[in-house]
Amino acid sequence: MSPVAPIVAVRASGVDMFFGTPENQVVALKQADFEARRGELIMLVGPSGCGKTTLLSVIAGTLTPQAGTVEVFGQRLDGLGQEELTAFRRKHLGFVFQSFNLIPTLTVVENVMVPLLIQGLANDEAHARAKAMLDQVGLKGREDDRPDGLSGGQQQRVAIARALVHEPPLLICDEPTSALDKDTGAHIMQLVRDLSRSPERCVVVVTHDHRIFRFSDRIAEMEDGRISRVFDDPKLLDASHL
Amino acid sequence: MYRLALNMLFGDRAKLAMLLCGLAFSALLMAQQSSVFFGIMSWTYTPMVNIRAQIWVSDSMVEQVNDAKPLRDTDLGRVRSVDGVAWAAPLHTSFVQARMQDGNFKLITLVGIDADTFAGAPAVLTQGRIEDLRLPDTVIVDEWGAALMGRMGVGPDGQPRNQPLTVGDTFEINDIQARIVGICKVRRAFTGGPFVYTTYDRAKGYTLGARRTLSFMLVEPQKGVTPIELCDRIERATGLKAWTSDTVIWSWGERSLARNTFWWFWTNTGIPFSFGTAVLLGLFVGIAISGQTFYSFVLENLKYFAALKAMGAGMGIIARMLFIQAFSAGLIGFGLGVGMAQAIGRVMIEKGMPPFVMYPQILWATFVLVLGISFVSAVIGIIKVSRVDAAAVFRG
Amino acid sequence: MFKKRLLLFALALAGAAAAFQLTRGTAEEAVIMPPPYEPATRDKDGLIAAAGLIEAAAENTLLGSPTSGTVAKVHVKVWDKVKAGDPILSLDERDLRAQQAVQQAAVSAAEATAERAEDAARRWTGIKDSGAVSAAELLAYQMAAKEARAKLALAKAQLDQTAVLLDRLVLRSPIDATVLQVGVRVGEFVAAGAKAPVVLGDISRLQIRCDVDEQLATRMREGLPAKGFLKGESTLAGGKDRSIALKFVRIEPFVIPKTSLTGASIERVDTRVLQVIYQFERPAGRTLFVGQQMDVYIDASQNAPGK
Repeated sequence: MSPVAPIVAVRASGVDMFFGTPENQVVALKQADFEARRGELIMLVGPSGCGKTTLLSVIAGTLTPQAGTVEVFGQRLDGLGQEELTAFRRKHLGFVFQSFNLIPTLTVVENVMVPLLIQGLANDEAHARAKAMLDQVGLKGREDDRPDGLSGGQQQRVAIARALVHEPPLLICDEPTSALDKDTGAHIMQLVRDLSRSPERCVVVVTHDHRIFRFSDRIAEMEDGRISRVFDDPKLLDASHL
Repeated sequence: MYRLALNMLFGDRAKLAMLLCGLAFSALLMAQQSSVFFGIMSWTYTPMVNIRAQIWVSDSMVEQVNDAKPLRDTDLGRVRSVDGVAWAAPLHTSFVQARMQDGNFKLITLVGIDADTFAGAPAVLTQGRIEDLRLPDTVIVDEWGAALMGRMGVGPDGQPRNQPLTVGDTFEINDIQARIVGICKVRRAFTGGPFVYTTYDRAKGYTLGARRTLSFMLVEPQKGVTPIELCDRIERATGLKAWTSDTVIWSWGERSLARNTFWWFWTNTGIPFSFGTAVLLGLFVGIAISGQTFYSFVLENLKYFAALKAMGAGMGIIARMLFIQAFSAGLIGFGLGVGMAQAIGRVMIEKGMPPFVMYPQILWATFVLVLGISFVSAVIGIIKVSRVDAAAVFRG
Repeated sequence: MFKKRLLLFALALAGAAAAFQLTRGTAEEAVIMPPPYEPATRDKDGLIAAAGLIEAAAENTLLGSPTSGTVAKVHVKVWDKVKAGDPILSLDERDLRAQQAVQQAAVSAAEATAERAEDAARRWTGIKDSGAVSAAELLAYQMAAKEARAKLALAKAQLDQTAVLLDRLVLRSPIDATVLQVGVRVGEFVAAGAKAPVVLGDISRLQIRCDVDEQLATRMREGLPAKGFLKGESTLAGGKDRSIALKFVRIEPFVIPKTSLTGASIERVDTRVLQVIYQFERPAGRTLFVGQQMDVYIDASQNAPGK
């Protein structure tokens, strides 16, 4: 932990999260503390079942923890109702999913328009912005294609465009490269880094793909439902895992 | 967003086709079966359509038009004596056996109309003149009956003639000759027999042995007297039953003989039950197919809806999207379904068989039911989506 | 793809529109057309309607025959005007003629017998005093002459009777009248007492016998004005008033069972009716026949309650 008080983007402290009945309980998070800063790209790593995805869901406001506090850009999430959480996500969050989750019956540009339209933007404006965003991810000319006509890498680019088109301060990526080969994964991570680089934006990436550790500013390692170690220099972890 | 909802719906052609098929089929089944049902039921009051008059007067115990209880000849005088009556004409209706030239028998609806004025005469004659009915032993036969009885007739060479009866052909009613002087175009009746028109007096001769032959009286109110008003007066003055002749079966008017006939058949026969079953079947098939297809459409898109939820789309937006999708499919399905139904109906009307009466109410009911199916489908989908956790998107 | 969607919507819209267009056909049957011929229309309240039958004013005479016999000659035909006493029918008289001849001969024989008997009586009476004949013999002659005269009278009476019988074989009109119906031909048999098939009537003035339903009888009063409409006449004149003014004659005091006026083969007894007689002048330029039916409207508005 840094002694200097940085501009905190995300802070979770003492988070407990368990699933199932009291007799048959699965503990996902146990007194987990996590912190992410503005302007950085932080990776959450760890073995399967360590609680990475659960922590991500808690930060994203899609899961409400049983105990502990979650604060995102100064907003306490643990006291909010479903409606407020939804509104919060709409405004502050962008998502990149492992399986892209692009709607197959919509065109590329329509998929990218979705977050803008949810925010209530007019169709034309949303279309223009989505198109501009697709230019940035290098998919100019493919706007009216269906996602299933694109390669995996291209689909993930669309997903990134969708995640960033409404310029959310917090970008959440869940295993963004696990469905991609090494080179494509690297390209995607480079793109995420390039596009999301902003002093205000915080990017949280859950991954167990060590080949992309080098794109992070910091790495938080999880073990048994809590953050065990935080590496300020990703190269250290890189080396230790090699 | 709503446009995207439509794009989502129309994007999956196989699912859309299935969904529309289900909705269109149920709309078709409901509209078509109901129309045939109302067509057949409209045949029950065919005499009211074929014999037009403002008011029908009958015995007080008469419940429907096919069940005439004979009146006395002097009742005509009593009705004519009621204030507000412009004129009243006698009418005879009965079912009698007609004997064809080849010896075959056929049940006919014998209609005796006033020879003086021909009140109640068929509106359309395709052959012959109504005045010829004043000649001895003459009748006018409806087109369909002429064709039907023509099949029974024997030609001049002794061979079956196999072509419709025409002016000049004869058959027998109760051993009395009936010579055809005209062919008319009237609606077919539920009771099946062709309409054979003759004069009231001759009808008495044709129905030998019947003590009373006055089945109904056709009455025209004077100017300024409404039919309902006159019906009341006639009933008060004579103790007979007076009916209006409107065929609006949807009205609450107790005075309409057509309506009473319709509902009499409704409550006393199994026809509504059998057709109601078909209509319900259409509804259930529609709900099953459409609901199922829409549900599987929702299931298939569930993870995208979950992603939408994660991205901050509230249930309000998602519900509206689903409603738009369901109602769009419903509207198109309705249009296609009733479009097919009316196409079938036009063919049926052209052939005259089976009867087909498409009331606007049938279409509105179909519309409401199809949209109801859509609504139920959408609600099921919404419940499903609302139960899915937004966090699910992160689990692969 | 967008175009296809529009096509689908358009197709659905067209289907629905066509269906709704088809529903308009259901309203067609509501049209009511007037009868091909305008019926006699009443235009007034308080009327009593009745069915009337035209008959001759003096009521029709159904000529009867006093004897049975075969028709030998029909002297009249329908429409003939006859005076009282004019022959109508002659029955076969050959048997009576034969009888007459026999009786004529009998009269001649009786005459001869009577003459002879009288002559004998006269002669013997002339020589009574000569003593050639006794008083008793004379009386016998005189009695024989008396008997012969009586026999002659009998024979003559029989001859006269035959003449009367012969005369009765000719049916004569009892009144000045018009022959309305002749239903018998030469050679046909007519039974005594049966209604002869010759109908006579005075048709210079016609009257109409109206059957008023017994349920309407209470509204009937003496002297009510009435109008009649001839059956079938609506076919002849269109538009103008075709009614015939009727003048009250009398109400028949006895309510009788109504017999159907239609002339069907079976007589139908419907109900009991009050019969009211009205008279009318034969309208100019119109042909009226005895036995024709008429729709009669009796104007009872004057004594209708509350009017």
